[in-house]
Amino acid sequence: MRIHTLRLNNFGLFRGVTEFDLLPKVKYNKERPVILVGGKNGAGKTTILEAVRLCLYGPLLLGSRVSAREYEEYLRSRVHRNDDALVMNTTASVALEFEHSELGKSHRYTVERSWDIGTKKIKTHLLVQRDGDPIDDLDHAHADDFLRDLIPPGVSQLYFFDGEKIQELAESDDDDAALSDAIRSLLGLDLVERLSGDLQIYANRLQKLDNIDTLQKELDNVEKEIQDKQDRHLKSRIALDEAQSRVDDIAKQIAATEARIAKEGGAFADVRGKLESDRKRLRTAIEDAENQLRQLAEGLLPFSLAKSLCRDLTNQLKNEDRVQGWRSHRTLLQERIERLHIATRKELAGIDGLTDETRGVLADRITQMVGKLGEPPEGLPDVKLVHRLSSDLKESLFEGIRGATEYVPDRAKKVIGQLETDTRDLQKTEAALKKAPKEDQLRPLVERVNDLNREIGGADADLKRALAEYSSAEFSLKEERSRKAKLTDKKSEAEKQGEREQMVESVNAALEEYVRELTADKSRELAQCVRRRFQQLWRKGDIVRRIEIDPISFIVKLYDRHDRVVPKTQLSAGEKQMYAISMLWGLAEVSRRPLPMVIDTPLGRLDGEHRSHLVEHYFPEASHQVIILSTDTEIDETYFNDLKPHLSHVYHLSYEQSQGRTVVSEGYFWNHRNQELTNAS
Amino acid sequence: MHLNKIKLTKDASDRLKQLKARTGLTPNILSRIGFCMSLSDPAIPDPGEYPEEDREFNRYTLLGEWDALYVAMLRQRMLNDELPDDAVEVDYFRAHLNRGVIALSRQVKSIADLASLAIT
Repeated sequence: MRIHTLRLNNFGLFRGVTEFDLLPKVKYNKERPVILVGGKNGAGKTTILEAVRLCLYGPLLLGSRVSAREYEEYLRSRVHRNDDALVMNTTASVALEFEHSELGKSHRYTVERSWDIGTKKIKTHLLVQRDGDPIDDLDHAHADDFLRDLIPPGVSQLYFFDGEKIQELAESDDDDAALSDAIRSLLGLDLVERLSGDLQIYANRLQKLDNIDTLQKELDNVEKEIQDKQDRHLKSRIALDEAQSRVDDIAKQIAATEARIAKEGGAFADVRGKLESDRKRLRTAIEDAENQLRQLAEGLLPFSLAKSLCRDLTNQLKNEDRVQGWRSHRTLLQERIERLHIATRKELAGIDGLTDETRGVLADRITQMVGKLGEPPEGLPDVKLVHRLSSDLKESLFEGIRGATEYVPDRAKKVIGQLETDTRDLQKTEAALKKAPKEDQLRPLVERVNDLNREIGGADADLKRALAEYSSAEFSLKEERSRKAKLTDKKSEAEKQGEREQMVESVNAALEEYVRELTADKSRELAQCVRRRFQQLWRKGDIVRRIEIDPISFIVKLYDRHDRVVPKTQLSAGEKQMYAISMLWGLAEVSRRPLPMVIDTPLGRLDGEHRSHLVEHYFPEASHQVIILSTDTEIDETYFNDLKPHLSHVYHLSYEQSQGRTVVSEGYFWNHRNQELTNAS
Repeated sequence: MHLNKIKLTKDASDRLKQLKARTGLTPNILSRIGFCMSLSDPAIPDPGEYPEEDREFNRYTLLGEWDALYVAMLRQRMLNDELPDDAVEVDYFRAHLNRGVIALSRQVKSIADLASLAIT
């Protein structure tokens, strides 16, 4: 992979569009891998590393478990603020253009992330293009995954890092934890672990099925059951056939005998036919009539049995009605009489010329007369109120009583009359049918038909029984067979399940072995790489002759030329840093990914002696593209000159306090002076 | 009347089975007819003669849509009989029902027999 350009738009300290050309240039027929970006602290060097990461990893730049809110907060904080502008700028973007080879073909990719904080909810947009076209087989949801697979975040820390990382590795006494993580993600072991975890989940989800032996036992039982049921089925079939052939046989005899009767006495056969149809009609009529009677019985007929009580009830209800009516009137009347009484006394008092005595007598008389109105009317029945029903309910009871005393008896009478006639007729018809014809020679034949008819009745009943038995046998056989089918399915499912479980086990075992072998292999390779790089960086590096990395614990052991273990604590601070860089370098090398290096302030805490090792031996060789973000105290003039044969081009970032932004120019800190010197010479 | 379920004597229950075979009517219908038949018998039944033994009906199945009329008929009959005020309706209901079913089974051989009881 080779980065072509990085474009920042209103990102961090960079106002408007700032584009960095990061492609290494060829000078004197030699490609120069190092691009140097200089800037003092706070000028925005780290922003460049950050932009590269943001482009590739989006939210993951903040860590593996970052919430959408945190990411939005981050994006909000990274939009450039221009306090002089009239209108607040709300949009920002970062874009990375690079070349990447896959399957032997080189493609040019553009990845742009843009966002707008102008709205309440941040709008983010990710654009991924290959050779200028949107990647069509990549929808938005998968764009992030695609980028993550391009350069896994775990690997990126070996290529995009800062001086802190080196320090961290150098100063940690046990580097196995950090190392273990790096090696695992480097080898894609985290993927293998995820796969193995998924397999476990898959295995757990496999239904716990019944034991195969139990199923087999059940199957054997069912098999026996089926055998029995088949026997029963066969026997019932034979019985059915026998019964059927007996019925057929008798029917044939009847037909033959009747044919003889018809031949020998046609008239009789005609009469018989008519009688038979009469009998059928009468039977139907009788059944009809009986059903009508049953319908009556289900309705009001029961009450027809107690007509006199029905009448009593009607009278009682009517009487209660009158009494209830009178009672409600009486209350009203008494109230009025009381009022009249008072009014009368008042009226009489107003009439002059009457003595008080006369007034008293008159008032009593009037009261007496009016009082009679409050007496019960003549003929009001003296009844006990036992029913006290509402008038609606009373009406419905009257209706029922009318039905029971009038309609039902009337209807029953008619139906019974018809029924009696029909019954009599049927008896006559049956008697006539039984009567032998007058012709003596037909009598035995007719008797034979009668006998045969009786016989066929019995045979028919047998046939029905046989048929019922046969159907039941067939049904239970079918049931047993479907049980067998289900059990067979279940068993084969259980067998398949067993295979799947074994498959999971063997895959897991293979995975384990794969991981073991791969780790051992890579650990060996890494140990050799680290040793080589260490010696390259550190001429006195032969204090370490051999490095061993334990493929399980990732504990690193250093051996001196007498093959004695050198504890890491015995290394000097410089040696430790060199060792850390060797480790990073070795890991990157072992990962075998042709990725560019982005190194931020790498020399921060290094002393001068060690700096020159890095400048001379590490930066030019670390990768085909090395982007170094440095301050003027790190790559100073001396180192700048040392690095010059490998330098492709140089940028300078300077923070303009008055404008509140970083300005980018080509050249390094002392560029002008350099040019002046060149000009002078 | 407080009646949710009612239980017949064993005798009446058996007779209901016979009656069902003879008439093709269901036991609840037969019980209604028996009940009314007993109401038309002037003798007053004795509730003590009819213990709760066998077949059980619930009220709705037994009385159907004319429930109110059956209850009114029983009250009327009890009024006519001038029973004391503390006579329990449910007891007399059960007494008439049992007595009626037994009487019905003595008189009725067919559905036509039964229907002819409604005419007279």
